[in-house]
Amino acid sequence: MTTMLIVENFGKTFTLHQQGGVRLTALKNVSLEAHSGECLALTGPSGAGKSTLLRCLYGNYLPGEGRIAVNSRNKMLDLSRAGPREILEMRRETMSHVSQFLRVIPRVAALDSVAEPLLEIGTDPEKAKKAAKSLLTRLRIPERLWSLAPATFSGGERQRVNVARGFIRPWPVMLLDEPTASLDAANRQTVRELILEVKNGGSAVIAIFHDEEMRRLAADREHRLEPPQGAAMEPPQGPSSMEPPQGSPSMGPPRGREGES
Amino acid sequence: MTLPVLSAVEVDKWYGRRAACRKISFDLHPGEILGLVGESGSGKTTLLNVLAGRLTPSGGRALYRDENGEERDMHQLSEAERRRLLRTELGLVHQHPRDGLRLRASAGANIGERLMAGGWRHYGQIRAEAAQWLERVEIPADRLDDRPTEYSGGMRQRLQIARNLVTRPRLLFMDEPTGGLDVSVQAKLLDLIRHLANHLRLAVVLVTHDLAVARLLSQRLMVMKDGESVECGLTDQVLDDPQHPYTQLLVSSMLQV
Amino acid sequence: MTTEETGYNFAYLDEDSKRMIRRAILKAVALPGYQVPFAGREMPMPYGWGTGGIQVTASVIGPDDVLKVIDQGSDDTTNAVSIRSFFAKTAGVATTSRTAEASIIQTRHRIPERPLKSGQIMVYQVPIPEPLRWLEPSEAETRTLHALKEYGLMYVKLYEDISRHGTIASSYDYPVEVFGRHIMSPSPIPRFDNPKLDRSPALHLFGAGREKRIYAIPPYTPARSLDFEDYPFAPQSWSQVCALCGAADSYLDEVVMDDGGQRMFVCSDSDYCASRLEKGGRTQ
Repeated sequence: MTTMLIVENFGKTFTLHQQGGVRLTALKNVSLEAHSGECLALTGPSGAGKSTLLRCLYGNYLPGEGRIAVNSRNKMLDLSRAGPREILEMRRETMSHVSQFLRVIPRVAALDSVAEPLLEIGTDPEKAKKAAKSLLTRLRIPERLWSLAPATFSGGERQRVNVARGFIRPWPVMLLDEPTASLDAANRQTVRELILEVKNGGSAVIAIFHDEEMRRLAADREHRLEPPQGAAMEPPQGPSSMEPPQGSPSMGPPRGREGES
Repeated sequence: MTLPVLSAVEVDKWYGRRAACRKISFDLHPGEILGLVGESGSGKTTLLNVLAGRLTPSGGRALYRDENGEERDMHQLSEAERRRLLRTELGLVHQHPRDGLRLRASAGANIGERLMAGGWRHYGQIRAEAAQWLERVEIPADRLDDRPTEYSGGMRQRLQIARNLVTRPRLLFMDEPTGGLDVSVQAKLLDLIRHLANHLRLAVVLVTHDLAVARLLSQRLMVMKDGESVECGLTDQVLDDPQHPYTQLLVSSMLQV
Repeated sequence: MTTEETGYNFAYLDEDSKRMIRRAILKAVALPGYQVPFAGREMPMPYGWGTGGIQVTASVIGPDDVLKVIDQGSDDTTNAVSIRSFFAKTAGVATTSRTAEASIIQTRHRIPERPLKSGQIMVYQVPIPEPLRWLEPSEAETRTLHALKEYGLMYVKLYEDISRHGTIASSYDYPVEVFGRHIMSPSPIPRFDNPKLDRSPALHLFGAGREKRIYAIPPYTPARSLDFEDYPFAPQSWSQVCALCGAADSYLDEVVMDDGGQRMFVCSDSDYCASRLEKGGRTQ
């Protein structure tokens, strides 16, 4: 078991200049490790900063105090010292982030969207398409939708496209933010199998699960986060009750915010 | 690790006592798109023009690494060499197609001009290459002999892109390429730019005031205000976890759909 | 023969103006095909009537010169007659319609068919000296394009011709590259005459009165008509011969004979046609 990720005394505070410079502490003194081949579930009440932590791990939020180090290509990359190019490389080579919400790229077909992470690392386009098709099939996306842009899909369909995109490659570190939130039992089961497969393939999975059963079945370990002291000001919720608390409530889109580019 | 294709080193531009750009520095690598965002008058277009060698900076340097790996100071080049680079290894897509196209010449001639300037002397080959690029920007090849004045706004902008890309440039400057287009037309163009930049490993400096455009196209973002870079970083990080009060204001002012 | 008028300097222009124009001509000869700006003078005729050519002629002509003036290949059209009489009056020089006898030939549209000799000077009246003007309205930009030898734009025009008409349709004012350097407008001769410019023994001087530019092709200088590899330059050709003299190597004008639409093709160079007839060419 290789250590893939180390979080030490990590804390994250947001300063909201639009609201008189109020400071919100979202995370404080978080320490954890994740290893290859295991699934670590983040637990804790709403407002404990679970999603915020995943975003910090992915480099979507700037690192705060303490340290986050990611094992990227056998080197520990300190996120607070990494430049944008190193973070992009880490995302390409090492880490994926599956949020609940798919950021739709206009006009890009579901199939191409799913295949894209493979094309980025130079996989043969035919092979990439084949892999994408098989994953979409497993997640029960009807074939007639494959060539359409997911903009018009239902919430559940979009999420499954998103999951497919997140699992098209077995990244060494995979961050899952409520990947099954709006899925039916059959698809939840498929996601559980996918997690098991990448785990067996040696990935370290760090996940937030909204339902107990999924967590019990998929996770090997749990790490509980508590709302930090002094975070009495609960950030307002996004438009969806399913969305985890956001660290920077007054800004940023209400939908998923993974680092598409 | 690749070497940067463009480096801005403390670029300054003053108009009298007013600073249009102040000490702007960044590196841009092959395949990267850097978004320059900010409101009108923030200095982003001035910066673009300085970087492209169209304006002389008051201080600092814009260094372009040419295809032989040699670093060239855009403002130390002879005019002949600068213009040669601008029509071969570099490209500039203007906000208004009329500034970047020859409206009196056909689409084919517009695309072929850079080839002819580079010494292509076979009409059939020039025409075939132009037709191929027209199709790559999703304009039917049977529009090759039409003038840009017979094109829609979105098609003109795509024609302008084809005209620039025909010489396989390594670095492209784009000034509000989607400004003034209908939303549906915009989406098509954005997708095209994204696709082409990916496939050609183009480095792009993209000026836009539209944060959604920047999020879709650029990996990195520089937020400008009053000629200064107030924040620079990964695009999703700058937009989702903005640090500077001005960036927070910009992001919170964005319309949501 | 018109008698010489008094009250004018020789050849109308004052000596200082001539000296200034000669300096421009020398520069133009030294930089073949390059458009030299000069301080064009007002002439006693409107622009478009050949004021540029007349100033050049006035600056190079001497009392011993023999002047020929042609317009549309003919020595007898209004413009040709009035320019010839202008110099006969103001310089008292001999005039001729015979190409072989002339030392200076001022022309508007043609180069004579009879091959030019060393020592002869062709003077052209040019309406628009800038070959790039068609696509680039800015004079500053076209001068930069010439300075940097950026001639992609010139080919854009030829490209447009082919895509519009299936062939390079410019039948007049067909651009040439002079001495491998400058691109120049041989304005407004037909492209039939372009080959006569190439390595010609004569000196060719071009004067644009309105735009105040002078340029030149010195004797024996290469002047290459631009083209594409797959659309090579070709002068015009006719399936007919001249209906009067039977010449097959001459530029033909189509002449409408009557209201019934009867037409015939005759030499545009009236001197050439007449001299062939004198030598016993056929008549109708």
